[in-house]
Amino acid sequence: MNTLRTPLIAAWAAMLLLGCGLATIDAAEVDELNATVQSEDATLHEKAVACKRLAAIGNEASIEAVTPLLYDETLSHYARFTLEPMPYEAAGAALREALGKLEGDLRVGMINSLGIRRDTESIEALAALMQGGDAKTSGAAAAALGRIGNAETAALLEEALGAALAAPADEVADAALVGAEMLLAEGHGSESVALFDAVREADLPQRHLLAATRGAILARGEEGVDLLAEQLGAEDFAYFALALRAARELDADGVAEVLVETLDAASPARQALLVVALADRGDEAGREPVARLAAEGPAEVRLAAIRALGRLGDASTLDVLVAAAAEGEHTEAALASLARLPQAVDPAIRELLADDDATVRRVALDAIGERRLFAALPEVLEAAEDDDEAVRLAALGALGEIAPLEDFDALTSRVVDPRSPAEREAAQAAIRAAITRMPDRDATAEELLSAMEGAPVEAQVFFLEVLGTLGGPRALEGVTAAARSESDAIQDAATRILGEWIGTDAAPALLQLAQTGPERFRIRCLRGYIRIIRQFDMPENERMAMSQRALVAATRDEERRLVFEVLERYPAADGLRLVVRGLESASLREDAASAAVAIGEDIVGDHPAVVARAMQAVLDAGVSDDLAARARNLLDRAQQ
Amino acid sequence: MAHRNHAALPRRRFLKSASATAGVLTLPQWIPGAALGKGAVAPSERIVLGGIGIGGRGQGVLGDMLRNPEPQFVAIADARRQRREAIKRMADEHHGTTDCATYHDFRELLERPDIDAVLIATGDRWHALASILSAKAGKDIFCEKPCSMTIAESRDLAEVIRRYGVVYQAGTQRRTIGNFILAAELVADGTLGELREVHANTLNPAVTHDWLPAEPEPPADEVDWDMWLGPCPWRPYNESYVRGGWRGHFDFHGGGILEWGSHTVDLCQWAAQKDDTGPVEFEPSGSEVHARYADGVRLIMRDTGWLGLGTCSVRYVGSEGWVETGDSGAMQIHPEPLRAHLRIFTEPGTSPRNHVREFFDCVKTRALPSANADVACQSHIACHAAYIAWQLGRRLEWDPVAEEFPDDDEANRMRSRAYREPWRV
Repeated sequence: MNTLRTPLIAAWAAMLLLGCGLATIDAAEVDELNATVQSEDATLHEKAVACKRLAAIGNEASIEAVTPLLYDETLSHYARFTLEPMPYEAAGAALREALGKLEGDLRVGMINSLGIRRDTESIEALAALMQGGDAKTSGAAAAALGRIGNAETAALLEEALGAALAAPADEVADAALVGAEMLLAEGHGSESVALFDAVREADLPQRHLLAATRGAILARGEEGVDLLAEQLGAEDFAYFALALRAARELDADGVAEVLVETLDAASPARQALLVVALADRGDEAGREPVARLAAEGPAEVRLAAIRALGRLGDASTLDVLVAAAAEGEHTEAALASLARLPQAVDPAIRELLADDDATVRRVALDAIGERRLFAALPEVLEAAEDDDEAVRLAALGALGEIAPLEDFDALTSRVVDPRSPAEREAAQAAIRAAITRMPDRDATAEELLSAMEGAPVEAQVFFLEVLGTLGGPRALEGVTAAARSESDAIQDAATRILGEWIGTDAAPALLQLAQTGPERFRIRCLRGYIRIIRQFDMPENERMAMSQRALVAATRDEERRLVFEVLERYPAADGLRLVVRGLESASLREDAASAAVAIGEDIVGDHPAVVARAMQAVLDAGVSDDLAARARNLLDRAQQ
Repeated sequence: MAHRNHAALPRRRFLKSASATAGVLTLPQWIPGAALGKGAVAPSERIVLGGIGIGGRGQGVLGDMLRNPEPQFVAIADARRQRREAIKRMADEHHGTTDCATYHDFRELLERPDIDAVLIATGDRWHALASILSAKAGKDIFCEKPCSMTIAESRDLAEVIRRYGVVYQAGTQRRTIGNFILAAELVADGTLGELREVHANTLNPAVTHDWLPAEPEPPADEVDWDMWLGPCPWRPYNESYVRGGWRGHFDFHGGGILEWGSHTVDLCQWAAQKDDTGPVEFEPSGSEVHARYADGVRLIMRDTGWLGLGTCSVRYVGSEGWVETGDSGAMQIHPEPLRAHLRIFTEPGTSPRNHVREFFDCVKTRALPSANADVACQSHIACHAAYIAWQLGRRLEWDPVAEEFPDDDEANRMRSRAYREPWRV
């Protein structure tokens, strides 16, 4: 490992590890860094790190210090790392001077940095390199000119578009596009449009012509709508696709109207894409034509239009979506859109529950569930008794989303005594959904515990799992009691659920079960207890107390090792004391020592005396050579 | 209405069905690819896909991609032979072919006109530049997070993606996972009242400037060290770097704020409806950074104190209550009556399934994905600014419009890092 000998650089590097920076730039640090980069004794690594630090804090003297490194093949980049972001003109001058003296990739590096700095002083030199350099140099120079992005570079790049240069045409084109964007960003709209148009006229790969066309549309603003319309009508799909993107970006009146106008004459495949663009924009102008396509458009357009109505639709589009949902082919898409319609359509959806067609009733129930239409509860409870099983299952699904606790038995009874396996599954899914939204967890737990009474074991296990998901004091109490039930299967489920409990509130129950619970599940409960110590946030003294209790309760080394791992993860002086006690056990000694050394390495700065005592104990216990060496080293540090 | 760079939250409750995600239209296979023509989807309805730097996480994403009907994975580029060959085997086995091409320089892969889209899953150092070069080559892009190494890279990436009109989906898949969507929606629809704080689960930001001991460089065909380093500063080769040991090194890794903040700060920005801006102030505190938006909403980046609902947790705190959720899909809400708004979720936050599906849909429709380059740019800038504040150990002000730290030369100079020659954006 190459670490740093120079104190201040090392301090900065350490700062990145510790997150405690310097409040102000330290002149002494800068002086030392300047000296490091010029020192013949400094290592490559030290110079590299110094250059990186100087990038942020270097002063004008630093420019003089790093400039010679620009000419060093290995350190040239590091020197640019320092100079490129510097606000000083002298940094640019150093790069320009090197530009004239270097060749190959190092010169390309200078070009790139001058471009990033938008160094107008170098325009002439860069133009010469664009025109006369090799391919790599010429391309880099064009890119730098694009970055500088003023009227002078725009003219140079426009000229270069048609010239025979060594630079690849796509690099010149990209530079011109960047230049045009720069001009637009700085308020030179007409110059920007002119440069975009020049790229459009050039002999270039299509992707650059597309990019230029997009830029030309957007740079024109309100006046870009005509050019957008032209592209939307283009035969070449690539131009149509670019227009779809530009239509989403262009902030101008008339864009939605242009999309709608294009819709009528477009092929079905293009209609589908135009529909998505209209939905993305969300313009009201798109609603009616999209609804029409959803109802009676070509097959390949209908699905897009049905989905788009989820964002564009209102009460006027309800019938179209219900019909689409009922016909089967696009049910899921139509339901998704139905769920998103505004609240005004709620009464109309409820009325559908009285429809003679079972498919329509099912669609309505799905929509009621998705929309959480609580007012429809009476009709949904009625539908849960429907003769048609698909309707009943849909009603159970809807109840999962809207049933209050008072009507929970409509669901729990179907788990305990279902008419079919499908109904049981639907009821279980509905209960899982319902409990996530129940506002009173204890009352919900009470309801589930009541449902468990007299239920088959399989149903009881399901309710226990739901209680585990639910959480809260009453659920915990119920599951804990179940862990001591007479049934092996119930004990198994309850202890498993406790072991995965979300929250620290299960800890006392787990510890008690680990010591006095059913013999077969004690280890599981202890591991669940240790998991809580490891996983959850808690005060340090609480974690230490729990760790101590876990060690007392443990009957096997496996669980003791788990506790050591926890203590290692949360290094503390009390934890170190606990771990050291493990040194007394021959079978645990190496693990205890390993944890002790790891903890000690973390806390030695704050607790040198505790660490010194612990490391002495590790050494006295007799451990492997590696650990002993680390312990000895740590002991030295602690004693210093 | 235009400039929909941010992924708007839906006007209604999102849907519990797996195929529906909020804020975007997720439209599985509903556009006939043959109709779209070259440039968006191959005439055979395939999306011809290439891979750049695919390791463990990338294989997971690629596996999810290949469960969709469209992708034909035809090429892998990786500076490491072992990984090139592993991905070739995976692709060939999946397609029942033997012709997945391998490259050690991804620029050769990008030159292939038949490739529509790329999956980029290199180490952090390459994410932005490989994406930028892919966009310039006209490829649509799914790129793992974090998307950038600096503030400047974040901005460059967003601009190039827009310039070429390509589809870019950042691998911040929680934007298309139900529990995270619902949590954001509870903020958007006012259920939590006036938003006060958003909390993002980040990791300890610490990194190192140390170099590992120099080892002999392997042959370039085995590990192309120069290509592996790419735009990063040169250092001597050590095998540990290329085997994943690059994490924790300043030159290659964004540190703990970027590691998870690229997900969780991104989620917070989205929930707070700040997709097009960022905080105006960052203050480090231990391993945490506390930020504040212009409207007073606070963004807390912290690595401790979470309820244990899974990795990459977020918490949104309003005047009427709070909600917390994480990768397990579980949600906790306070006070208890607000539980009435919760739903059940099973998709883990780590699953890219919805996200890759949305990516393929957008490749077809040219729509903007949920985790597009513009929203990724803003959330990454927030992470980078926080990281800079943490490195400097002091409070920083930030101007999210000018994208600079007002009157703070030292911090401003940390917004970018010079690329190693000859690389440039």
